[in-house]
Amino acid sequence: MNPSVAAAAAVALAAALPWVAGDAAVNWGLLVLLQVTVAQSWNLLGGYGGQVNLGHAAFFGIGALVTRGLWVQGTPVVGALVAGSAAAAVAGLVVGLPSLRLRGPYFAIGTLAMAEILRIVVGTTLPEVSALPSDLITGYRLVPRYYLALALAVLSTAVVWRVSCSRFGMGLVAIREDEWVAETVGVDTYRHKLAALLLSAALAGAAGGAFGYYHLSFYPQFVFSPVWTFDAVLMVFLGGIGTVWGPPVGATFFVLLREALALRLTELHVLVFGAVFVVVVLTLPGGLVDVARVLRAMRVRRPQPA
Amino acid sequence: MEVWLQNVTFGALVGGLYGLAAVGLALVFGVLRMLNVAHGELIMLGGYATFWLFTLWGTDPYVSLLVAAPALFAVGVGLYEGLFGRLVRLHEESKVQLSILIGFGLALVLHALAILLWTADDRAVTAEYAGRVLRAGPLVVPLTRLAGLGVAFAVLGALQLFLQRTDAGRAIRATAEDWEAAFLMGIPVRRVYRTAFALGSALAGVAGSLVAVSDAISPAIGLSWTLKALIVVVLAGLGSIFGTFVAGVLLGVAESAAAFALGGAFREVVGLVLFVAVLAVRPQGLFGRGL
Amino acid sequence: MTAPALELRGVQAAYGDAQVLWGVDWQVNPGEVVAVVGPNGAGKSTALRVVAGLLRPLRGEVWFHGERIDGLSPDQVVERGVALVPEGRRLFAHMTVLENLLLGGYTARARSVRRQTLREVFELFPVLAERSGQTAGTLSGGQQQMLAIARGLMSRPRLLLLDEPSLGLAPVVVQQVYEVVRRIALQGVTVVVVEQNVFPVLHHAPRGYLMAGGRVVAQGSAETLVRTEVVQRSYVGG
Repeated sequence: MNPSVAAAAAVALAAALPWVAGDAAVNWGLLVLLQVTVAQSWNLLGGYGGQVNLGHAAFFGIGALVTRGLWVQGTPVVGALVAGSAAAAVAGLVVGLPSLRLRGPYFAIGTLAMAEILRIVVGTTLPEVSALPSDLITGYRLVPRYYLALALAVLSTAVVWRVSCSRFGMGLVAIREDEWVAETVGVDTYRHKLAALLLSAALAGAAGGAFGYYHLSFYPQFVFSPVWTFDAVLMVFLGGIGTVWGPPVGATFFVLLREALALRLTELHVLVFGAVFVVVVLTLPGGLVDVARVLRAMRVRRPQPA
Repeated sequence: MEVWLQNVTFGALVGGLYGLAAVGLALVFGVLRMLNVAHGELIMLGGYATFWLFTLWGTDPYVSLLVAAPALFAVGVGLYEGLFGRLVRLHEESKVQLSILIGFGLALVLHALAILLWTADDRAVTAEYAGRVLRAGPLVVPLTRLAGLGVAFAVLGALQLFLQRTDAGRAIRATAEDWEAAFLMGIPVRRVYRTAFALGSALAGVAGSLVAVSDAISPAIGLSWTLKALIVVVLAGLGSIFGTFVAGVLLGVAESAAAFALGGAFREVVGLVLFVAVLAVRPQGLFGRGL
Repeated sequence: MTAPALELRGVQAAYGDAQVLWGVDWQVNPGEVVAVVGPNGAGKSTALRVVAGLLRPLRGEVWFHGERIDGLSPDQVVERGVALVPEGRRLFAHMTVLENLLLGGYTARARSVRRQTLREVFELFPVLAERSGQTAGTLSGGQQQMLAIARGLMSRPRLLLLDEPSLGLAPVVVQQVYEVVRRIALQGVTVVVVEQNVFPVLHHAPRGYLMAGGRVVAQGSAETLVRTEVVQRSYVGG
């Protein structure tokens, strides 16, 4: 099937879901769509630009806290979401400006440090559960939140698709393949990486914002948990890193599997998916969308240099 | 003034352990060009080894070093054979990045496993000398922390001798500098990788034991130890073992100074500030050189 | 009839998807000094890397004194008695001259006689004995090449592979290098020397191969190679 036809069909199906299914299914669909955005935003910088972001949770968490804070105080949710998204992008700049100038693992270290430090600081300064005030709970409806998540999932996938067939995207891929070569053929690697980071952080912030708008109560520290980053990386690798359709496939598969296994306990969740992740990375580097090609290639194995 | 001095002393004592943690990480990175971000979780495992040896059989924590280090060495061999060793054939860039991702997954898995096995509670080894202090004028120095610094120093000294004076140590340094040339010397490079990874893990085991006596351990300490180690390595580069040790002490001092002057929440922020500052001042990067 | 010291049979090799060798055949007899010449990109260094075990051939075989060695890892090849002195010398620049030499004698076979080998090497290269405590990176270019060769000898090879030993050296120094090669050959070590053009090796290797485009295009005496090489150059306008 033509991918664009398949995509249109998937979006139409998703849009129809609240009309045909009950709350449980809609809730489930919302989680999938939210994770699509989280995965897509990581994919943009990690999959295309080859930059390992270990602090994605920070962007998600900042988006969630800022959006929720503004919205609870009366800002319209869209405005709050944009503010949350912008705040996440600013955080991206703080860590990206110094660390993306260098090759090597600096960016991974910087993002990991930022996320962990934010988690600790938020945990000590905001120790109380963030619960919605009663007036907002009375007016709470799931469907608008579902459509917000759908809109973000479509937006993030569209952004990744648009980037993937642009000059900018080609520059990112060149950086991923070989940064020295990219530089010698005239790609401004620093600006490319920064721009991708800003987009990625803004999308992750928006996803966090949607989460803050959706969830009734959570500990502020929770949205900074490294598990968010891990899930993003896992979904991207599961579906197919550096592809447009891998993350949606990965997110669907991931949420399905999680619900099927009923992994309510975070520890079990991490244990199972940690194993899944390692297997995927080591045996299926192209992800699920690449399975057909891998099966073909296995018949014609070529010798490798030692 | 005396409070300041006390704080700085404390920071330096903790920082020695940061240095020890960082040397293990730097050894692995320098030789394999892989960043094991689960290094802190290996420290955590070393801590639990010491904790259980003490709790179940009353083994003295400094004696249990002799168990924790080889145990973690074995864990390192297993992790290399099962996970990291599968990346050695990859191109330099993807090798670093996949190692980071695998390490990240491993870190979360070990964290989860530790919670399931041993609960999320804080644990500490309460040897009968745990509360003892030395007094030097107005300064109060906990005995276990001082011993920790001493052990860290001794272990790093032994490591230095091993790397400089033995054939196996020279093979590790040669591999770090140019693995292909090392191969041409007849050095079995893959085996050197495995040894280096296992040695790094054993150093984490030692650090974990020392943390368990002088501080508390819980499944959650891993990530923060990894961060300390990473920041120290960025500060010191891969130049020398003692440079890394000194950088660790500096980070410890900076942290306790910040916590004292600005409040406890700032202890953790110091690392990030230092990281950003170092990258801004020395943009050529510090990961460049071999051991 | 004794087996050749080194034999390549139809060796093909590639870096990733780029094939570099398209069927290379060499035959080197024990004690010979053989030159391999050809332009940049001819596949000379790649062939040496295949022999040393750093690159696995796609097809073809490599035989060393009657034993098939393709498929062995580089350290196993060294253990058999093959030493490659790589292009660009690849010294451990941050380590001392002595440490470089000790590493050269790393294999179990070499280590058992390492002291004696070291004495012999210092006799051959007195300058290295004088500078044994200095870091390798601080030596002059010629001294670095000497150290690279000396380091190769520390493994007590039966076959010494030299990849462009004259590269970047003054003509006088090149003469010194080849004087050393001559003395090594006199001790019964088989030597294969790769050079970009034939002139540095002309008087030192009685026989050789001319390579281009990943194949052997001519072989024979040094004079034959000179003639063919000149003809080739006039063809490609080099």
